[in-house]
Amino acid sequence: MLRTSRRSLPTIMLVLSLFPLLVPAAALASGFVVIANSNVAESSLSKKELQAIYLGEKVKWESKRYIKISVLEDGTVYKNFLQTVLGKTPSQFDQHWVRMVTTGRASMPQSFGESKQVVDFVAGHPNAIGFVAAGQETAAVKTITLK
Amino acid sequence: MKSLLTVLVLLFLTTPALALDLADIEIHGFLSQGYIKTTRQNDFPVSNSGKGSFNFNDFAINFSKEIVPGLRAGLQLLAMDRGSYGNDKVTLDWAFGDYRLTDWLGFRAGKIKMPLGLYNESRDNDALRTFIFLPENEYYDYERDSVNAITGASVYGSVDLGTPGTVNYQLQIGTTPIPVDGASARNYSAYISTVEAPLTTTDIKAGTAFVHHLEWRTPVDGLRTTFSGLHNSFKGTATGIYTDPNTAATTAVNASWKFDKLHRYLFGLEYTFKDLVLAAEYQLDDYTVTAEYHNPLIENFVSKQQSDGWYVSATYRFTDWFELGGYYYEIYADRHHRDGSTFMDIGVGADWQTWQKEKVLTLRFDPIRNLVLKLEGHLIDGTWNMSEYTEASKRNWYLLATKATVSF
Repeated sequence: MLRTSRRSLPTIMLVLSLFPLLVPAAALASGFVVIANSNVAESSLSKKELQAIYLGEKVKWESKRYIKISVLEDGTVYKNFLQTVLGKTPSQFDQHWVRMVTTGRASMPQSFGESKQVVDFVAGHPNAIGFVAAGQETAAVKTITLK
Repeated sequence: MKSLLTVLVLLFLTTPALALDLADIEIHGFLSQGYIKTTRQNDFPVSNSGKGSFNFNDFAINFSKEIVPGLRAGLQLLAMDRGSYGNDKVTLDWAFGDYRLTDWLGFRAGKIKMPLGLYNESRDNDALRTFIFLPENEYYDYERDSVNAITGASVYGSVDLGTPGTVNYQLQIGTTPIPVDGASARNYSAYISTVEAPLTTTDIKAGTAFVHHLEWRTPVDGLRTTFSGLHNSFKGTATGIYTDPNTAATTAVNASWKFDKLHRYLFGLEYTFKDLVLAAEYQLDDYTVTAEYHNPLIENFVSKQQSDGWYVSATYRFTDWFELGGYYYEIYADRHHRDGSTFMDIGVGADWQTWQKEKVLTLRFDPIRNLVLKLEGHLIDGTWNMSEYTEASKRNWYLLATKATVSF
Protein backbone atom coordinates (compact mmCIF):
# COMPACT_ATOMS: atom_id res chain seq x y z
CA MET A 1 0.00 0.00 0.00
CA LEU A 2 1.33 3.37 -0.98
CA ARG A 3 1.75 5.64 2.01
CA THR A 4 2.51 9.31 1.85
CA SER A 5 3.80 11.22 4.83
CA ARG A 6 2.46 14.70 5.45
CA ARG A 7 5.96 16.07 4.99
CA SER A 8 6.56 14.54 1.56
CA LEU A 9 3.15 15.46 0.09
CA PRO A 10 4.05 19.06 -0.87
CA THR A 11 7.26 17.81 -2.49
CA ILE A 12 5.37 15.24 -4.56
CA MET A 13 2.78 17.84 -5.56
CA LEU A 14 5.52 20.25 -6.58
CA VAL A 15 7.23 17.59 -8.68
CA LEU A 16 3.89 16.62 -10.26
CA SER A 17 3.03 20.22 -11.04
CA LEU A 18 6.40 20.83 -12.65
CA PHE A 19 6.32 17.57 -14.58
CA PRO A 20 4.60 18.98 -17.67
CA LEU A 21 7.19 21.75 -17.86
CA LEU A 22 10.11 19.39 -17.63
CA VAL A 23 9.03 17.02 -20.37
CA PRO A 24 8.27 17.89 -23.98
CA ALA A 25 4.72 17.12 -23.10
CA ALA A 26 3.59 16.68 -26.67
CA ALA A 27 5.72 13.60 -26.77
CA LEU A 28 3.85 12.13 -23.84
CA ALA A 29 2.31 8.92 -25.09
CA SER A 30 1.10 10.57 -28.24
CA GLY A 31 4.32 10.08 -30.19
CA PHE A 32 4.79 13.62 -31.50
CA VAL A 33 6.95 16.60 -30.68
CA VAL A 34 6.12 20.21 -31.50
CA ILE A 35 8.99 22.11 -33.09
CA ALA A 36 9.60 25.70 -34.17
CA ASN A 37 12.20 27.71 -36.00
CA SER A 38 15.04 28.71 -33.71
CA ASN A 39 14.15 32.41 -34.11
CA VAL A 40 10.86 31.83 -32.27
CA ALA A 41 11.10 33.23 -28.75
CA GLU A 42 8.47 30.97 -27.21
CA SER A 43 9.72 27.73 -25.76
CA SER A 44 6.33 26.51 -24.52
CA LEU A 45 2.72 26.80 -25.59
CA SER A 46 -0.54 25.87 -23.93
CA LYS A 47 -2.76 23.32 -25.66
CA LYS A 48 -5.22 26.15 -26.25
CA GLU A 49 -2.58 28.29 -27.95
CA LEU A 50 -1.49 25.40 -30.13
CA GLN A 51 -5.11 24.72 -30.96
CA ALA A 52 -5.62 28.37 -31.96
CA ILE A 53 -2.52 28.28 -34.16
CA TYR A 54 -3.63 25.16 -36.00
CA LEU A 55 -7.15 26.53 -36.47
CA GLY A 56 -5.79 29.74 -37.99
CA GLU A 57 -7.04 31.92 -35.12
CA LYS A 58 -3.69 32.79 -33.56
CA VAL A 59 -1.59 34.17 -36.38
CA LYS A 60 1.27 35.95 -34.58
CA TRP A 61 4.02 35.05 -32.15
CA GLU A 62 4.74 37.31 -29.16
CA SER A 63 7.37 38.97 -31.35
CA LYS A 64 4.48 40.12 -33.65
CA ARG A 65 5.86 37.99 -36.47
CA TYR A 66 3.35 35.97 -38.47
CA ILE A 67 3.30 32.25 -37.72
CA LYS A 68 3.91 29.84 -40.60
CA ILE A 69 2.19 26.50 -40.04
CA SER A 70 3.38 23.12 -41.28
CA VAL A 71 1.69 19.75 -40.98
CA LEU A 72 3.07 16.21 -40.94
CA GLU A 73 0.51 14.14 -42.82
CA ASP A 74 1.91 10.85 -41.59
CA GLY A 75 -0.82 8.45 -40.46
CA THR A 76 -0.43 7.77 -36.75
CA VAL A 77 1.45 10.91 -35.70
CA TYR A 78 -0.95 13.08 -37.70
CA LYS A 79 -4.01 11.43 -36.14
CA ASN A 80 -2.59 11.61 -32.62
CA PHE A 81 -1.64 15.26 -32.94
CA LEU A 82 -5.02 16.27 -34.31
CA GLN A 83 -6.97 14.30 -31.72
CA THR A 84 -4.80 15.32 -28.77
CA VAL A 85 -4.45 19.01 -29.60
CA LEU A 86 -7.50 19.86 -31.71
CA GLY A 87 -9.97 17.10 -30.92
CA LYS A 88 -10.41 16.62 -34.66
CA THR A 89 -10.08 13.71 -37.05
CA PRO A 90 -7.93 14.10 -40.20
CA SER A 91 -11.02 14.58 -42.37
CA GLN A 92 -12.41 17.23 -39.98
CA PHE A 93 -9.07 19.05 -39.95
CA ASP A 94 -8.84 18.84 -43.73
CA GLN A 95 -12.37 20.21 -44.10
CA HIS A 96 -11.62 23.04 -41.67
CA TRP A 97 -8.71 24.25 -43.81
CA VAL A 98 -10.45 23.72 -47.14
CA ARG A 99 -13.29 25.81 -45.69
CA MET A 100 -10.82 28.53 -44.66
CA VAL A 101 -9.05 28.53 -48.03
CA THR A 102 -12.09 28.30 -50.30
CA THR A 103 -13.71 31.24 -48.53
CA GLY A 104 -10.56 33.30 -48.89
CA ARG A 105 -9.67 33.46 -45.22
CA ALA A 106 -6.30 31.71 -45.14
CA SER A 107 -3.61 29.87 -47.07
CA MET A 108 -3.39 26.12 -46.85
CA PRO A 109 -0.74 25.04 -44.32
CA GLN A 110 2.36 23.44 -45.79
CA SER A 111 2.05 19.69 -45.50
CA PHE A 112 4.68 16.97 -45.70
CA GLY A 113 4.76 13.21 -45.68
CA GLU A 114 7.86 12.70 -43.52
CA SER A 115 9.18 14.14 -40.28
CA LYS A 116 12.51 15.05 -41.88
CA GLN A 117 10.72 17.25 -44.43
CA VAL A 118 8.90 19.08 -41.63
CA VAL A 119 12.16 19.59 -39.73
CA ASP A 120 13.83 20.96 -42.88
CA PHE A 121 10.89 23.27 -43.58
CA VAL A 122 10.71 24.59 -40.02
CA ALA A 123 14.50 25.03 -39.84
CA GLY A 124 14.51 26.92 -43.13
CA HIS A 125 11.57 29.26 -42.49
CA PRO A 126 11.67 31.89 -39.75
CA ASN A 127 8.56 31.86 -37.52
CA ALA A 128 7.57 28.37 -38.68
CA ILE A 129 5.98 25.74 -36.47
CA GLY A 130 5.38 22.05 -37.03
CA PHE A 131 5.13 18.67 -35.36
CA VAL A 132 7.13 15.54 -36.01
CA ALA A 133 7.36 11.98 -34.74
CA ALA A 134 9.00 11.84 -31.31
CA GLY A 135 12.75 11.45 -31.68
CA GLN A 136 12.84 12.94 -35.19
CA GLU A 137 13.53 16.50 -34.02
CA THR A 138 17.07 17.75 -34.56
CA ALA A 139 19.27 20.54 -33.27
CA ALA A 140 18.31 22.61 -36.31
CA VAL A 141 14.97 23.42 -34.69
CA LYS A 142 13.78 24.18 -31.17
CA THR A 143 11.42 21.94 -29.28
CA ILE A 144 8.25 23.49 -27.92
CA THR A 145 6.89 22.07 -24.71
CA LEU A 146 3.19 22.03 -23.91
CA LYS A 147 2.29 23.99 -20.78
CA MET B 1 -19.47 27.92 -69.44
CA LYS B 2 -17.83 25.30 -71.61
CA SER B 3 -14.55 27.18 -71.46
CA LEU B 4 -14.74 27.38 -67.68
CA LEU B 5 -15.43 23.69 -67.49
CA THR B 6 -12.53 22.91 -69.79
CA VAL B 7 -10.19 24.99 -67.66
CA LEU B 8 -11.41 23.33 -64.47
CA VAL B 9 -11.03 19.84 -65.87
CA LEU B 10 -7.56 20.58 -67.24
CA LEU B 11 -6.54 22.05 -63.91
CA PHE B 12 -7.70 18.98 -62.11
CA LEU B 13 -6.20 16.46 -64.48
CA THR B 14 -2.83 18.15 -64.46
CA THR B 15 -2.72 18.54 -60.70
CA PRO B 16 -1.30 15.64 -58.76
CA ALA B 17 -1.35 17.46 -55.43
CA LEU B 18 -4.31 18.86 -53.54
CA ALA B 19 -4.02 22.22 -55.29
CA LEU B 20 -2.04 24.15 -57.80
CA ASP B 21 0.50 26.67 -56.62
CA LEU B 22 1.47 28.97 -59.45
CA ALA B 23 3.90 31.77 -58.52
CA ASP B 24 2.61 31.46 -54.96
CA ILE B 25 -0.98 31.86 -56.16
CA GLU B 26 -3.04 29.14 -54.57
CA ILE B 27 -5.67 27.68 -56.86
CA HIS B 28 -8.45 25.49 -55.53
CA GLY B 29 -11.87 24.52 -56.71
CA PHE B 30 -14.54 21.90 -57.07
CA LEU B 31 -16.77 20.32 -59.68
CA SER B 32 -20.02 18.87 -58.49
CA GLN B 33 -22.68 17.16 -60.60
CA GLY B 34 -25.87 15.65 -59.29
CA TYR B 35 -29.16 14.08 -60.21
CA ILE B 36 -32.38 14.86 -58.38
CA LYS B 37 -35.88 13.40 -58.43
CA THR B 38 -38.84 14.58 -56.42
CA THR B 39 -42.53 13.76 -56.30
CA ARG B 40 -43.74 14.63 -59.82
CA GLN B 41 -45.91 17.59 -58.79
CA ASN B 42 -43.34 19.23 -56.49
CA ASP B 43 -40.42 20.88 -58.28
CA PHE B 44 -38.01 21.90 -55.54
CA PRO B 45 -35.20 22.81 -54.96
CA VAL B 46 -34.44 22.22 -58.63
CA SER B 47 -37.20 23.71 -60.76
CA ASN B 48 -37.68 20.60 -62.91
CA SER B 49 -36.91 17.94 -60.30
CA GLY B 50 -40.39 16.44 -60.54
CA LYS B 51 -39.45 14.81 -63.81
CA GLY B 52 -35.95 13.95 -62.59
CA SER B 53 -33.18 16.39 -63.45
CA PHE B 54 -29.48 16.66 -64.13
CA ASN B 55 -29.77 20.46 -63.95
CA PHE B 56 -28.13 20.18 -60.58
CA ASN B 57 -24.48 21.17 -60.40
CA ASP B 58 -21.93 23.56 -58.90
CA PHE B 59 -18.51 24.48 -60.29
CA ALA B 60 -16.02 26.82 -58.68
CA ILE B 61 -12.43 27.90 -58.91
CA ASN B 62 -10.68 30.23 -56.55
CA PHE B 63 -7.38 32.06 -56.60
CA SER B 64 -5.62 33.57 -53.61
CA LYS B 65 -2.24 34.95 -52.79
CA GLU B 66 -0.46 36.09 -49.67
CA ILE B 67 1.08 39.31 -50.92
CA VAL B 68 3.10 39.96 -47.78
CA PRO B 69 2.68 38.26 -44.40
CA GLY B 70 -0.75 39.24 -43.06
CA LEU B 71 -2.01 40.71 -46.36
CA ARG B 72 -4.01 38.49 -48.71
CA ALA B 73 -6.19 38.86 -51.78
CA GLY B 74 -8.36 36.36 -53.59
CA LEU B 75 -11.48 35.65 -55.57
CA GLN B 76 -13.77 32.78 -56.48
CA LEU B 77 -15.75 32.22 -59.67
CA LEU B 78 -18.83 30.07 -59.29
CA ALA B 79 -21.38 28.61 -61.68
CA MET B 80 -24.39 26.60 -60.63
CA ASP B 81 -27.55 25.16 -62.12
CA ARG B 82 -30.84 24.53 -60.38
CA GLY B 83 -33.06 24.26 -63.43
CA SER B 84 -34.79 27.57 -64.04
CA TYR B 85 -32.09 29.59 -62.29
CA GLY B 86 -28.35 29.58 -62.14
CA ASN B 87 -28.06 28.03 -65.59
CA ASP B 88 -24.31 27.61 -65.10
CA LYS B 89 -23.75 31.32 -65.55
CA VAL B 90 -20.35 32.26 -64.13
CA THR B 91 -20.59 34.72 -61.25
CA LEU B 92 -18.12 36.38 -58.94
CA ASP B 93 -18.82 34.51 -55.72
CA TRP B 94 -16.39 36.39 -53.49
CA ALA B 95 -13.41 38.68 -54.01
CA PHE B 96 -11.69 40.62 -51.29
CA GLY B 97 -8.50 41.91 -49.78
CA ASP B 98 -7.71 40.85 -46.23
CA TYR B 99 -5.27 42.41 -43.78
CA ARG B 100 -4.82 40.61 -40.46
CA LEU B 101 -3.25 43.16 -38.16
CA THR B 102 -3.16 40.91 -35.13
CA ASP B 103 -4.96 37.90 -33.67
CA TRP B 104 -7.92 39.95 -32.51
CA LEU B 105 -8.18 42.43 -35.38
CA GLY B 106 -8.29 42.07 -39.14
CA PHE B 107 -9.91 43.97 -41.99
CA ARG B 108 -11.51 42.86 -45.24
CA ALA B 109 -12.88 44.86 -48.15
CA GLY B 110 -14.59 43.66 -51.31
CA LYS B 111 -17.25 41.04 -51.83
CA ILE B 112 -17.14 38.97 -48.64
CA LYS B 113 -18.99 35.79 -47.71
CA MET B 114 -21.63 36.33 -45.03
CA PRO B 115 -20.97 34.38 -41.83
CA LEU B 116 -24.58 33.44 -41.09
CA GLY B 117 -24.98 30.47 -38.79
CA LEU B 118 -22.61 27.54 -38.61
CA TYR B 119 -22.18 26.84 -42.32
CA ASN B 120 -23.28 29.70 -44.62
CA GLU B 121 -19.76 30.70 -45.61
CA SER B 122 -18.92 27.22 -46.89
CA ARG B 123 -22.34 26.12 -48.13
CA ASP B 124 -21.31 25.99 -51.80
CA ASN B 125 -18.69 23.28 -51.48
CA ASP B 126 -20.34 19.89 -51.33
CA ALA B 127 -17.14 18.21 -50.14
CA LEU B 128 -17.21 20.16 -46.88
CA ARG B 129 -20.29 18.53 -45.44
CA THR B 130 -22.04 15.22 -45.16
CA PHE B 131 -25.32 16.29 -46.71
CA ILE B 132 -26.17 17.19 -50.29
CA PHE B 133 -28.66 19.79 -49.06
CA LEU B 134 -28.03 21.62 -45.83
CA PRO B 135 -31.31 22.11 -43.92
CA GLU B 136 -33.43 24.35 -46.14
CA ASN B 137 -35.05 26.15 -43.24
CA GLU B 138 -31.80 28.07 -42.87
CA TYR B 139 -29.67 27.30 -45.92
CA TYR B 140 -32.45 27.96 -48.38
CA ASP B 141 -31.32 27.37 -51.95
CA TYR B 142 -33.76 29.91 -53.36
CA GLU B 143 -32.24 32.81 -51.46
CA ARG B 144 -28.58 31.88 -51.73
CA ASP B 145 -27.98 34.74 -54.17
CA SER B 146 -29.16 37.30 -51.61
CA VAL B 147 -27.40 35.98 -48.49
CA ASN B 148 -24.18 34.64 -49.98
CA ALA B 149 -21.97 37.71 -49.80
CA ILE B 150 -21.93 41.36 -48.87
CA THR B 151 -20.12 44.00 -50.92
CA GLY B 152 -18.44 46.31 -48.45
CA ALA B 153 -16.07 46.00 -45.54
CA SER B 154 -15.62 43.96 -42.41
CA VAL B 155 -13.61 43.74 -39.23
CA TYR B 156 -12.92 40.41 -37.63
CA GLY B 157 -10.67 38.68 -35.16
CA SER B 158 -10.17 36.07 -32.52
CA VAL B 159 -10.20 36.90 -28.82
CA ASP B 160 -8.75 34.53 -26.23
CA LEU B 161 -10.98 34.82 -23.16
CA GLY B 162 -8.81 32.55 -21.03
CA THR B 163 -10.72 29.89 -19.15
CA PRO B 164 -14.10 30.67 -20.81
CA GLY B 165 -12.68 29.80 -24.22
CA THR B 166 -12.21 31.75 -27.44
CA VAL B 167 -14.51 34.11 -29.31
CA ASN B 168 -14.23 34.68 -33.05
CA TYR B 169 -16.15 37.69 -34.32
CA GLN B 170 -17.02 39.32 -37.64
CA LEU B 171 -18.83 42.59 -38.31
CA GLN B 172 -19.75 43.50 -41.88
CA ILE B 173 -21.34 46.51 -43.51
CA GLY B 174 -22.17 47.00 -47.15
CA THR B 175 -24.80 46.17 -49.71
CA THR B 176 -26.14 42.91 -51.09
CA PRO B 177 -26.57 43.17 -54.86
CA ILE B 178 -29.41 40.78 -55.74
CA PRO B 179 -29.61 39.61 -59.37
CA VAL B 180 -32.95 40.34 -60.97
CA ASP B 181 -32.90 37.00 -62.80
CA GLY B 182 -32.01 34.95 -59.72
CA ALA B 183 -33.96 32.74 -57.36
CA SER B 184 -34.42 35.43 -54.70
CA ALA B 185 -36.05 37.69 -57.26
CA ARG B 186 -38.48 34.86 -58.10
CA ASN B 187 -39.39 34.67 -54.44
CA TYR B 188 -40.06 38.40 -54.29
CA SER B 189 -42.25 38.07 -57.39
CA ALA B 190 -44.18 35.26 -55.72
CA TYR B 191 -44.79 37.40 -52.62
CA ILE B 192 -46.45 40.22 -54.54
CA SER B 193 -48.19 38.19 -57.24
CA THR B 194 -51.88 37.35 -57.09
CA VAL B 195 -53.78 34.56 -58.79
CA GLU B 196 -55.13 37.09 -61.33
CA ALA B 197 -51.85 38.94 -61.76
CA PRO B 198 -48.62 36.92 -61.78
CA LEU B 199 -45.76 39.43 -61.70
CA THR B 200 -42.09 39.34 -62.62
CA THR B 201 -39.50 41.40 -60.77
CA THR B 202 -37.86 43.93 -63.08
CA ASP B 203 -35.51 45.80 -60.74
CA ILE B 204 -34.03 45.41 -57.26
CA LYS B 205 -32.26 48.07 -55.22
CA ALA B 206 -30.60 46.91 -52.01
CA GLY B 207 -30.02 49.25 -49.09
CA THR B 208 -27.21 49.15 -46.57
CA ALA B 209 -26.87 45.79 -44.89
CA PHE B 210 -25.23 44.93 -41.59
CA VAL B 211 -24.06 41.47 -40.52
CA HIS B 212 -22.71 40.40 -37.15
CA HIS B 213 -21.39 37.01 -36.18
CA LEU B 214 -19.97 35.59 -32.97
CA GLU B 215 -18.53 32.12 -32.61
CA TRP B 216 -17.71 30.97 -29.10
CA ARG B 217 -15.41 27.99 -28.83
CA THR B 218 -16.30 26.93 -25.34
CA PRO B 219 -14.01 25.34 -22.72
CA VAL B 220 -15.78 22.04 -23.42
CA ASP B 221 -13.69 20.26 -26.05
CA GLY B 222 -15.50 20.11 -29.37
CA LEU B 223 -18.37 22.42 -28.39
CA ARG B 224 -18.93 25.68 -30.23
CA THR B 225 -21.88 28.03 -30.45
CA THR B 226 -22.69 30.78 -32.91
CA PHE B 227 -24.94 33.82 -32.90
CA SER B 228 -25.41 35.71 -36.15
CA GLY B 229 -27.59 38.50 -37.43
CA LEU B 230 -28.44 40.06 -40.78
CA HIS B 231 -30.18 43.43 -41.05
CA ASN B 232 -31.22 44.57 -44.49
CA SER B 233 -33.82 46.37 -46.61
CA PHE B 234 -34.41 46.32 -50.32
CA LYS B 235 -37.02 47.41 -52.82
CA GLY B 236 -37.87 46.93 -56.43
CA THR B 237 -40.38 46.97 -59.24
CA ALA B 238 -42.37 44.30 -61.01
CA THR B 239 -44.58 43.98 -64.01
CA GLY B 240 -47.25 41.60 -65.26
CA ILE B 241 -50.72 41.19 -66.70
CA TYR B 242 -53.97 41.27 -64.74
CA THR B 243 -56.69 38.97 -66.05
CA ASP B 244 -60.20 39.71 -64.86
CA PRO B 245 -61.64 36.42 -63.50
CA ASN B 246 -65.14 37.25 -64.77
CA THR B 247 -64.57 38.82 -68.16
CA ALA B 248 -61.06 37.52 -68.98
CA ALA B 249 -60.18 41.08 -69.97
CA THR B 250 -56.50 41.87 -69.45
CA THR B 251 -54.70 45.01 -68.32
CA ALA B 252 -51.03 45.74 -67.65
CA VAL B 253 -49.83 45.91 -64.05
CA ASN B 254 -46.78 47.72 -62.76
CA ALA B 255 -45.91 47.43 -59.11
CA SER B 256 -43.45 48.84 -56.59
CA TRP B 257 -42.53 46.65 -53.67
CA LYS B 258 -40.36 46.80 -50.61
CA PHE B 259 -38.89 44.29 -48.15
CA ASP B 260 -38.25 46.51 -45.20
CA LYS B 261 -36.57 46.10 -41.82
CA LEU B 262 -35.47 42.56 -42.49
CA HIS B 263 -33.93 41.24 -39.28
CA ARG B 264 -32.63 37.68 -39.25
CA TYR B 265 -31.14 36.05 -36.16
CA LEU B 266 -29.47 32.64 -36.04
CA PHE B 267 -28.37 30.62 -33.04
CA GLY B 268 -26.14 27.60 -33.64
CA LEU B 269 -24.67 24.82 -31.56
CA GLU B 270 -22.20 22.18 -32.75
CA TYR B 271 -20.57 19.40 -30.78
CA THR B 272 -17.79 17.22 -32.17
CA PHE B 273 -16.64 14.08 -30.40
CA LYS B 274 -14.21 12.07 -32.48
CA ASP B 275 -16.15 10.97 -35.58
CA LEU B 276 -19.52 12.15 -34.27
CA VAL B 277 -20.79 15.65 -35.07
CA LEU B 278 -24.07 16.92 -33.63
CA ALA B 279 -25.51 20.28 -34.65
CA ALA B 280 -28.63 22.35 -34.06
CA GLU B 281 -29.66 25.80 -35.25
CA TYR B 282 -32.61 28.12 -34.81
CA GLN B 283 -33.46 30.93 -37.21
CA LEU B 284 -35.87 33.79 -36.76
CA ASP B 285 -36.94 36.27 -39.48
CA ASP B 286 -38.87 39.53 -39.13
CA TYR B 287 -39.62 41.81 -42.07
CA THR B 288 -42.36 43.88 -43.65
CA VAL B 289 -43.47 43.44 -47.25
CA THR B 290 -45.15 46.37 -48.94
CA ALA B 291 -46.66 46.30 -52.43
CA GLU B 292 -48.20 49.15 -54.37
CA TYR B 293 -49.92 48.23 -57.62
CA HIS B 294 -50.32 50.90 -60.25
CA ASN B 295 -53.62 49.36 -61.21
CA PRO B 296 -56.87 50.04 -59.35
CA LEU B 297 -58.02 46.44 -59.77
CA ILE B 298 -55.44 45.13 -57.31
CA GLU B 299 -55.37 46.13 -53.69
CA ASN B 300 -52.14 47.44 -52.19
CA PHE B 301 -50.92 45.69 -49.04
CA VAL B 302 -48.52 45.92 -46.12
CA SER B 303 -47.73 42.60 -44.47
CA LYS B 304 -45.59 41.91 -41.44
CA GLN B 305 -43.79 38.57 -41.77
CA GLN B 306 -42.59 36.61 -38.74
CA SER B 307 -41.21 33.22 -39.67
CA ASP B 308 -38.85 30.85 -37.92
CA GLY B 309 -37.28 27.42 -38.23
CA TRP B 310 -34.94 24.98 -36.58
CA TYR B 311 -33.06 21.77 -37.24
CA VAL B 312 -31.07 19.08 -35.49
CA SER B 313 -28.48 16.97 -37.30
CA ALA B 314 -26.07 14.15 -36.59
CA THR B 315 -23.26 12.70 -38.67
CA TYR B 316 -20.90 9.85 -37.96
CA ARG B 317 -17.87 8.75 -39.94
CA PHE B 318 -17.58 4.96 -39.67
CA THR B 319 -14.46 4.58 -41.79
CA ASP B 320 -12.13 6.78 -43.84
CA TRP B 321 -14.46 6.26 -46.78
CA PHE B 322 -17.96 6.09 -45.31
CA GLU B 323 -20.05 8.58 -43.37
CA LEU B 324 -23.72 8.51 -42.42
CA GLY B 325 -25.79 11.54 -41.56
CA GLY B 326 -29.33 12.63 -40.89
CA TYR B 327 -31.30 15.68 -39.92
CA TYR B 328 -34.77 16.90 -39.20
CA TYR B 329 -36.00 20.43 -39.72
CA GLU B 330 -39.14 22.53 -39.48
CA ILE B 331 -39.89 25.96 -40.87
CA TYR B 332 -43.02 28.04 -40.38
CA ALA B 333 -44.21 31.02 -42.43
CA ASP B 334 -45.84 32.47 -39.32
CA ARG B 335 -44.28 31.51 -36.00
CA HIS B 336 -47.31 32.85 -34.14
CA HIS B 337 -49.66 30.55 -36.06
CA ARG B 338 -47.80 27.30 -36.57
CA ASP B 339 -51.06 25.52 -37.30
CA GLY B 340 -51.26 27.26 -40.65
CA SER B 341 -54.36 29.28 -39.82
CA THR B 342 -52.78 32.37 -41.42
CA PHE B 343 -53.41 31.12 -44.95
CA MET B 344 -56.70 29.50 -44.04
CA ASP B 345 -58.09 32.73 -42.56
CA ILE B 346 -57.41 34.83 -45.64
CA GLY B 347 -58.37 32.02 -47.98
CA VAL B 348 -55.17 31.81 -50.01
CA GLY B 349 -54.23 28.21 -49.41
CA ALA B 350 -54.11 25.17 -47.17
CA ASP B 351 -52.51 25.07 -43.73
CA TRP B 352 -49.69 22.78 -44.92
CA GLN B 353 -48.56 25.40 -47.39
CA THR B 354 -47.33 27.50 -44.44
CA TRP B 355 -44.82 24.98 -43.14
CA GLN B 356 -42.21 22.51 -44.31
CA LYS B 357 -40.88 19.61 -42.24
CA GLU B 358 -38.24 17.24 -43.54
CA LYS B 359 -36.59 14.01 -42.44
CA VAL B 360 -33.30 13.42 -44.25
CA LEU B 361 -30.81 10.58 -44.44
CA THR B 362 -27.48 10.78 -46.30
CA LEU B 363 -24.78 8.32 -47.22
CA ARG B 364 -21.40 9.86 -48.03
CA PHE B 365 -18.53 7.95 -49.61
CA ASP B 366 -14.94 9.12 -50.00
CA PRO B 367 -13.47 6.31 -52.16
CA ILE B 368 -10.30 8.28 -52.86
CA ARG B 369 -8.99 11.62 -51.70
CA ASN B 370 -10.64 14.59 -53.44
CA LEU B 371 -13.61 12.54 -54.65
CA VAL B 372 -16.93 12.48 -52.77
CA LEU B 373 -20.06 10.53 -53.69
CA LYS B 374 -23.38 11.04 -51.92
CA LEU B 375 -26.84 9.58 -51.85
CA GLU B 376 -29.65 11.33 -49.99
CA GLY B 377 -33.36 10.84 -49.32
CA HIS B 378 -35.93 13.31 -47.94
CA LEU B 379 -39.44 12.73 -46.66
CA ILE B 380 -41.25 16.04 -46.61
CA ASP B 381 -44.47 17.42 -45.15
CA GLY B 382 -45.58 20.83 -46.44
CA THR B 383 -44.49 23.18 -49.20
CA TRP B 384 -43.59 26.53 -47.64
CA ASN B 385 -40.12 26.58 -49.23
CA MET B 386 -41.47 25.94 -52.72
CA SER B 387 -41.65 29.20 -54.62
CA GLU B 388 -42.74 27.54 -57.86
CA TYR B 389 -45.89 26.23 -56.31
CA THR B 390 -48.87 25.04 -58.34
CA GLU B 391 -52.35 23.89 -57.40
CA ALA B 392 -51.25 20.33 -58.08
CA SER B 393 -48.47 20.34 -55.47
CA LYS B 394 -48.60 17.58 -52.90
CA ARG B 395 -48.48 17.96 -49.13
CA ASN B 396 -46.45 14.80 -48.48
CA TRP B 397 -43.64 14.28 -50.93
CA TYR B 398 -40.15 12.88 -51.37
CA LEU B 399 -36.80 14.01 -52.70
CA LEU B 400 -33.99 11.71 -53.82
CA ALA B 401 -30.62 13.11 -54.82
CA THR B 402 -27.18 11.85 -55.67
CA LYS B 403 -24.08 13.92 -56.25
CA ALA B 404 -20.43 13.44 -57.17
CA THR B 405 -17.86 16.08 -56.27
CA VAL B 406 -14.22 16.41 -57.23
CA SER B 407 -12.24 19.04 -55.34
CA PHE B 408 -8.67 20.19 -55.75
